[in-house]
Amino acid sequence: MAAGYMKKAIPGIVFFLFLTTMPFWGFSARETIAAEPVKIGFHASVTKIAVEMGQAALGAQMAAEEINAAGGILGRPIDLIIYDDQCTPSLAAAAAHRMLEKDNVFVATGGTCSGCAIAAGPILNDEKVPYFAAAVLSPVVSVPLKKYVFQIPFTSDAEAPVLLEFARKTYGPKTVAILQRGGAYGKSVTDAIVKFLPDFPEMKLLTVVDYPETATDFSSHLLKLKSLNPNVVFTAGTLVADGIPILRQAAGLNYKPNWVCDLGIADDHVRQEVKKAMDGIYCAWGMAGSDWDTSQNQTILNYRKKFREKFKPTDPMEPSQTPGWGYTAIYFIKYLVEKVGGFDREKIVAEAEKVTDWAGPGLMVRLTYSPSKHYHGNLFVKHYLPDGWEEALQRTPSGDWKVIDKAKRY
Amino acid sequence: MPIFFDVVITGIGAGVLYGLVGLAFVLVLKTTNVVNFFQGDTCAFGAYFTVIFATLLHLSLPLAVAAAIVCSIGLTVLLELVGLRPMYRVSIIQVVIGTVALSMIMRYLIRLCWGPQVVPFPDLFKDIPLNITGVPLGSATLWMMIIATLSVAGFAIFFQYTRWGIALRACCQDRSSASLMGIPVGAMMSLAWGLSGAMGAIVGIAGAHMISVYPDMGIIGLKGFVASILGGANSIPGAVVGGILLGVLENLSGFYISFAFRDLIAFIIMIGVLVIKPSGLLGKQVVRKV
Repeated sequence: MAAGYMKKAIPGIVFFLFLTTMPFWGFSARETIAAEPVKIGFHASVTKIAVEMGQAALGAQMAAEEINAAGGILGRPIDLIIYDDQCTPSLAAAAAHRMLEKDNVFVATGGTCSGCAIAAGPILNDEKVPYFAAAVLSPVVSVPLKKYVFQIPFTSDAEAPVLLEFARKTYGPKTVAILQRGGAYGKSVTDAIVKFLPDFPEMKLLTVVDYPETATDFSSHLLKLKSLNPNVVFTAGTLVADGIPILRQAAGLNYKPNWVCDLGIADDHVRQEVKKAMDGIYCAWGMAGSDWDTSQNQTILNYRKKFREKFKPTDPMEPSQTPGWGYTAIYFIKYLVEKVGGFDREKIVAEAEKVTDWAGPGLMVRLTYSPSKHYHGNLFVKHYLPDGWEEALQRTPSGDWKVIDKAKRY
Repeated sequence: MPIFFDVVITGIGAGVLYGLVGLAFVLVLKTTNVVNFFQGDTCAFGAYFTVIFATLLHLSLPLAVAAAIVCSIGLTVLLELVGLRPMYRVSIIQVVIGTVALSMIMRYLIRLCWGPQVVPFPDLFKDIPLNITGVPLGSATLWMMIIATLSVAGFAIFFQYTRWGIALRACCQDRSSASLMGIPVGAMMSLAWGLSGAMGAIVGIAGAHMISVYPDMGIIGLKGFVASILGGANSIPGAVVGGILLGVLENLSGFYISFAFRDLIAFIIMIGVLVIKPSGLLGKQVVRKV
């Protein structure tokens, strides 16, 4: 009888349970379906000059897709809003205003030209929106310190001592010169070289030859360098578009200095474009994702594999240069949000301030520059060899430069 | 002294490029009275078409260059016919403004089709190297000088001694009278634009090796314009002389005064010439009977 009673009662119990738990089902379902996306603003030079740096946007997109496929950040999908700043500070400023006023972004990142990050940073800082400059080197972006502005890669102040140290070890120069591209990036590299030159008293700076961003004929600049005949010529801020004619025109003038280039020219793109023009030159190299010293990390290997499959980069040694910066930025934001357990800007900024080195899913973030850390572990020098080969050199603790990788680039 | 020599010689090298673009400016101006501000972009046409034929369609380099020149001529003529010809009826100013608009449109179209990045350009002169001992000029520049000399001679003969050249000059002086004399004015105008397209393509192809191929490479047109003003806007040899002079002055001022001054010099010269000798160095004052 009891069994018969229970039998009759079961539908009632089920109905009761359905009614009482339904609100919770509803809430959780609504949360899954309609979780409000977290808006992340991203600005980069997707067109016009420095477009190769704008590839950071590809990396950012890839990271956002991966994170969204895995459930988002604390259950909220990323809505990545990309603006093309065309490497023009006024457009970057306009993008920052739009991110604030129209998009109401939670955080912002991007910035692939120093001048653009310098323009956008203070606008976002004033509105207390955290901004992680993804792919710029000028220390002016974050100095003087702005509470809500961070730089993900190292700055020119970290790169310059590496360039000088490498030049000293390789060429033992008595005289050096700088060929500087106009704009904030070139100026930051020159300023940094000049700043650290007193640490290398045997080197004398003969001249700084600067050229405008729109220059196509470099003959008088190259002849000035040729007439002074410095032992080493550093390029500062030279990008792909100007790097190709500079190297070709120098060859045409039969001028073959010991080039030590900053990393603006050392892009995937350049190697494919100039090929033989690059033979014999050295470039600084190394940024998020290019850490050979941690390359055994499975997540790094996974990232590189995924990146190669998605974007088919031309560089046989490193698939992650500039896109790696964008990729890193998005994952770093995810890390911060999850670390503080919510979408609280103040807590995120406080957490970011604590970070010096951060190893994310395959990539490294170096957020804080300090004078005691000039020689970052992830700064390398690439040597472009004849017949399409290139090798990567890393500074050892004893101060020598050791070849750690070699590959054929074309 | 040797460095002064190097500065002058490399200035000549750059100036030849300006001179050839200036020559194309003069060709159009001489025959249609129009200042063609998309002349620089015809250089980009030549370079991009060469890339298409040589690297995408895998034609041999000489064939790719020839095909690129033909396509550039076709495109320039088409643009003039469709975009500018209807404006002639209104006024020449309208046509000149039209060329500025066309320049902008072409740059954006190139950007749309090819993207904004630098495009690799085949090594044009690797099989036919040309070097002179002691002269600090690359093979490409020396070839440009030969092309400039041949072009000036060719156009001088064309305008002076051929029926088509004389017909073109007649069209420039008085289109209505030329038409009454049986000269096909429309075809002559297309011929002039086609020749300027060919000239632009040649400069673009030869210059791409040195200045890279990218959507804004047509900016060299501005220097060509200054060269044509300096040499005399209606003088074919004047354009080349003006270009060479401009290149040398640019290099000297950049080297001995300031690099910042280098790009400024072109426009200072242009203003100076327009004020002091509007007809340019080799140009003739045009006197109209009224």
